[in-house]
Amino acid sequence: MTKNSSTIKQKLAELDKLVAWFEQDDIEIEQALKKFEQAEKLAADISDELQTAKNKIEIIKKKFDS
Amino acid sequence: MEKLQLTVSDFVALTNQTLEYAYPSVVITGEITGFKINQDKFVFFDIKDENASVGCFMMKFQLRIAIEDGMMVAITAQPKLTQWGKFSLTVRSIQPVGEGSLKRSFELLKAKLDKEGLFKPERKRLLPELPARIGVISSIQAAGYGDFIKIVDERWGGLHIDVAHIQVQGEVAPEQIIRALQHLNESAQPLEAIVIVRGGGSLDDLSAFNDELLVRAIASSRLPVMTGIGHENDVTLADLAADVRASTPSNAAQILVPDRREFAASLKSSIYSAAASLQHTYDKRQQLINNDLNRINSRLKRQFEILSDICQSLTRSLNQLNPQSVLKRGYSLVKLENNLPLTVAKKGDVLDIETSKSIIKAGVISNDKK
Repeated sequence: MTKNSSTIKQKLAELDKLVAWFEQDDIEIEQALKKFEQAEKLAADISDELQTAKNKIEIIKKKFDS
Repeated sequence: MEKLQLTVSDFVALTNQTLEYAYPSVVITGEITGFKINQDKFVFFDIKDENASVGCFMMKFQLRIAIEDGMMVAITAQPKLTQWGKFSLTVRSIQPVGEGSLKRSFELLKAKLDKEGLFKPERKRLLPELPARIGVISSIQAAGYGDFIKIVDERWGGLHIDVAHIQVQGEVAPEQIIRALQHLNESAQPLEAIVIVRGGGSLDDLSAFNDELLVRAIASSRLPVMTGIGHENDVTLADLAADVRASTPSNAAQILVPDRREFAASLKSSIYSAAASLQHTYDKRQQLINNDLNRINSRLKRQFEILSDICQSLTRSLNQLNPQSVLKRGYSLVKLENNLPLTVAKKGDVLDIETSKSIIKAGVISNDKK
């Protein structure tokens, strides 16, 4: 896994967890404010990383002739 | 010229050497007749045209397409004289020739593999939602590969792509793709999916993707396989056996990775849903506070009313005790000058008699004890 991808994936998993937290019935407002700020920052980070991340292409050296 | 003295075996061996030297490999096009498989191992048929016919032999494992009598094929073979003196062609590979034969071969093999369940929908696996490392099998010089990479780069970033460069058409293509599939499935750096990409071409160009062993290799791949072969309307057996069939190489890129702009927008929308939840909680909390305030307010109001009632009744009592009220009822207030008690009044002292309406001065005539 490339560094970029793993960072984006980890951040996405974290964001999913945060957003899912808001789906429960009773949320505590102070905690909610804190988590919302975290989620907002994460989403912005991910979007920024996605705009700049490049794909890495590696041509396998092995020949596949019989 | 000296006459050759040979045994029969030597003659057969010499003939074969000569044939091998003269025709190490020939490609012959003709129609199949008398096709049969013996002991599930040996394939026999004749290849013929209007004027001639030659016997052919091949091993069943080398037969990688479906054939039947009447089909036009091109065989790659080596001529050989058998030890029984029979001339035959040892076939290494066989390809259908012409649209009719290609289609017929395709349908025959499709029916066979379908019956085995290779194309069943329940066999299909999902591709990873956001892959980080994938394998691509294609020719890096091919336009289809270029299209695929271009679209992936436009849409997404941070993906690691291991590319197995192979030939995407011709006799060697199926075997190379099978080897690439094996290699990627056993990759030291674990991959999440394999994409086989090849741009458009004629039915004959795409026939490599109808190779029986290749189709089986795709169906048995450990990693999920997506194919993006040819144009929208081209369907190969490789497509049918793949977990996901993309209509073109560009479409394969679109299926593989999301568009980064759309993805960022979806992130925003999940943040909005969290914000809505936060707002809802805030409103709920505010409502609770309002309810509490209302309750306190109504309690205070009641307390105030009670106190106000008490106050009014006290005022009424006080009013009744007010000397002015007594005067109004017709009584008079009699005071000795200098506010001395009336008990000490003596004859001649002046008294102030206060009624509700006037103050009367009066003199004391006598003050006798009761």
